[in-house]
Amino acid sequence: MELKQGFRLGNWEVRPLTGEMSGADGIAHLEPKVMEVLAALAQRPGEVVEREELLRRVWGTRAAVADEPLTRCIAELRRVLGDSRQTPVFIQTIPKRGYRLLCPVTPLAASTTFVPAPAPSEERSVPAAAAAPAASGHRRQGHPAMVGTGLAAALVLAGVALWAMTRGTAESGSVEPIERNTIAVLPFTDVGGSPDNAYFGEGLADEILSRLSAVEGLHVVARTSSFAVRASADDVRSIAQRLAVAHVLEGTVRRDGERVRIDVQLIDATRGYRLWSARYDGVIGDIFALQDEIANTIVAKLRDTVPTELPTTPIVTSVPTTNLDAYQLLLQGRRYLNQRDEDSLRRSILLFQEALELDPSYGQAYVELAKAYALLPTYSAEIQDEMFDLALATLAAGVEQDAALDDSMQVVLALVASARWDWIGAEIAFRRALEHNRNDSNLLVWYSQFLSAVGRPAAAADYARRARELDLLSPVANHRLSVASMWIDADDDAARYAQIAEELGMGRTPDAYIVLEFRQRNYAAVRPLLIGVQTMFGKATAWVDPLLAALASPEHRPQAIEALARAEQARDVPPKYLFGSWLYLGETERAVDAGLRLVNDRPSFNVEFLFSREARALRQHPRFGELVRAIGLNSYWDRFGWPEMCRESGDTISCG
Amino acid sequence: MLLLATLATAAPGAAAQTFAGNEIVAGTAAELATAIATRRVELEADHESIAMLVDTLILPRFDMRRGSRAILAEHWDSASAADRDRFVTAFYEYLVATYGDLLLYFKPETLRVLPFDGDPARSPARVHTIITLNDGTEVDVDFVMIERDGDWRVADIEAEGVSYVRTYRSQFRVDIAADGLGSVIEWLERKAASVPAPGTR
Repeated sequence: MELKQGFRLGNWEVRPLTGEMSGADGIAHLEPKVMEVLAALAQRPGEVVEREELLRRVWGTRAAVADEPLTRCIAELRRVLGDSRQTPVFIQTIPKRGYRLLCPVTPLAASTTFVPAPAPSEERSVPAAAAAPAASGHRRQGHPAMVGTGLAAALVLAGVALWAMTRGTAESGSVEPIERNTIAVLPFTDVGGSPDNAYFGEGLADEILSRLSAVEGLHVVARTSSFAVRASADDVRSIAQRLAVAHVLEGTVRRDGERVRIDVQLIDATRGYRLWSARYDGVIGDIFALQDEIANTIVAKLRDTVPTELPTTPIVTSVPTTNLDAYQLLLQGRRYLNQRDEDSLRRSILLFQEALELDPSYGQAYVELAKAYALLPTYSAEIQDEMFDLALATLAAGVEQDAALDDSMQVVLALVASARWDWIGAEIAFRRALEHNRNDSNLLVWYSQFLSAVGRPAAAADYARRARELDLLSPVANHRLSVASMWIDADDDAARYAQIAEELGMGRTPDAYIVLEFRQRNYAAVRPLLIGVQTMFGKATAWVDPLLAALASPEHRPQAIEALARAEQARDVPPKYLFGSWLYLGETERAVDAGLRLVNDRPSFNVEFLFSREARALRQHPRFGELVRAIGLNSYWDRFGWPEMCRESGDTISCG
Repeated sequence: MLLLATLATAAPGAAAQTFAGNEIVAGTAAELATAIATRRVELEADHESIAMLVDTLILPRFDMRRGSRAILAEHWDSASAADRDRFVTAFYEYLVATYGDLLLYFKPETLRVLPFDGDPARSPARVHTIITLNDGTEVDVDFVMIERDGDWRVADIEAEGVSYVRTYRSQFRVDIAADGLGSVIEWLERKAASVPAPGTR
């Protein structure tokens, strides 16, 4: 439809040619790219417009290596429209795909109204609501929508300067140079198979990706990102640009009974030609040897084209199982494991268990099962120690079957040790895991988290950056970089990556969210969360408003202290909020006491927070050493070196 | 019992049709709305009648013993059978006392059950809702439902991404480490006994 002259969107009149939107509250001026994004969405109201398509339409083939410009445009649109990601009235995020305009669009020059296609499974897509107050910028008080919009608004406002600096990169086409030793492995398409068999093509690509990741000198994009872009209809060159790689491996797999045919091609996306292609015919029993062969051929082909020296030692992996049904169950399980939500993790556990029933000597299945157990408490209310005990018992059983598991199980050992505050054990396990998985973005994320907890925020940020470089489209990697940036006081980056993580489908993590909002002095945005949680859980809320008032204006501090003390007496404040609230109020002695009590609940104690700027007074408190010793960090520092900010003098530990 | 926390401040709305858990949440809210509307005078006058209402309407939707075990975690395993029973009762009474009279503010306005987006045959499953509190604050609330012997019950509630079970687990871990399980049970019992009469706060 012709929208150039303008269109009506809810209560707004949008005029693309002048870059203006007029609504009940006046006129808003949009940046050209923001308007272009809106116009692109308005062309197809009610339909999902893929991120790749938006990037291509608005930025052309010069799209930035990642999605930040688009993400910021969407955030800006939501800010102007008074919309939110959580409960959208105008723009709905379709995780891992794109965006959908929810309300009708009417060209100003015509009388036709284009009503979005019905979305019966999405109750929130209520076109009528678009004409409600939200269209004039009003937001419902206290709704998560407000939280989300508040966050978006804060991020956009705080990030305007940064955006102004970075958007030039995307618009001028001066993208960062792409290293030659980079490659993305896309999931192989299962030709002729049912969609239920997609796991096989993914698994095959994942195995090759894993082999290539172990090659020194090669930079391999992590699976989350490379598998995410595959869902798009983009050509290989665009995919390579988005992932910032010079090479792309893609392929198909066809299975006919026991027979397997694999077609692969390695594309030099920078130079625009196919570097190599091949067809492999074999039986399913050859699959592991085929994976090695393909990986070795790729390394050989790349050796001729990349400036870095790649090793000549051939990749040889041992056959992990002789039971191919067990292997396929493992592939299915991994697919669920990578989805990282409670239901998917539980499904993966069942599949790994089934694989082990078929082949009790299948070492990788033990490791994957242990990993699923170790991750489940993060995504559910399962009791952490129970799940960790199961994970460790599973690893022990696995080692009995396959002594070679020792290397691959280190990542699970590191996760468990870190969560149990066995800092020394965790460091050792992480280092061993990193020796074998230097390109594993998940491992880098977890190590970054660990380093933040042991008082090494700069190193933590470095590892978080590396994780994101490997996995640009991973919500987890972006979220981690957000948090790690926060601990080095790079607040703009923290806000920016938090926004990207959210747009990529990451659920909000309340603790990080609160700290970030407080840093933006956006206290009102946090209120619904605190009030909501307290009320829903039957706890008094009388301390919340005084606390927020005191943070905004220090003269309210005495009232806040009194209210919080009363609530503490009545056990009306969750222990970790109590600890944080005393810190924010400058009641350091009380914070030490609350912290020492909170030590008894490790899963709730965000040790990283101890090294934030908010906790500076706590670190300088004479009793800080009690906390450090209760957490066990002093032993770790004795072994691996004390952080620059900390020193021990007799019984006193003080950190700057 | 977890339902009580939300139903105290919310009312029924449109339910999705695809998952039994959605119908249970919306249906329980509707029943509660009717009970409050038709028996307000009686409920305001008698705390016991609120407890009865909770017993008959809410409790069947929640596995109190399983919930208590999840909340006490490792302390459940080390507790005597008598202490476990005492905790279950004390925690239940505490919740009734804490939330009970708030039921009186329950209005048939806003509990919106959002469409189910999971696999209805898999347990646990989540019922997504938006709850409007009395002051107009809207809260994203997920009911985590588990299936046992064909019945779906509430196992946890997540408000704004914060788990009810984990929050109370944290609270009791800290309290038990400081004062012991017995002291925590006594505190729950005292708290339950000291709540103001219905409708007076």
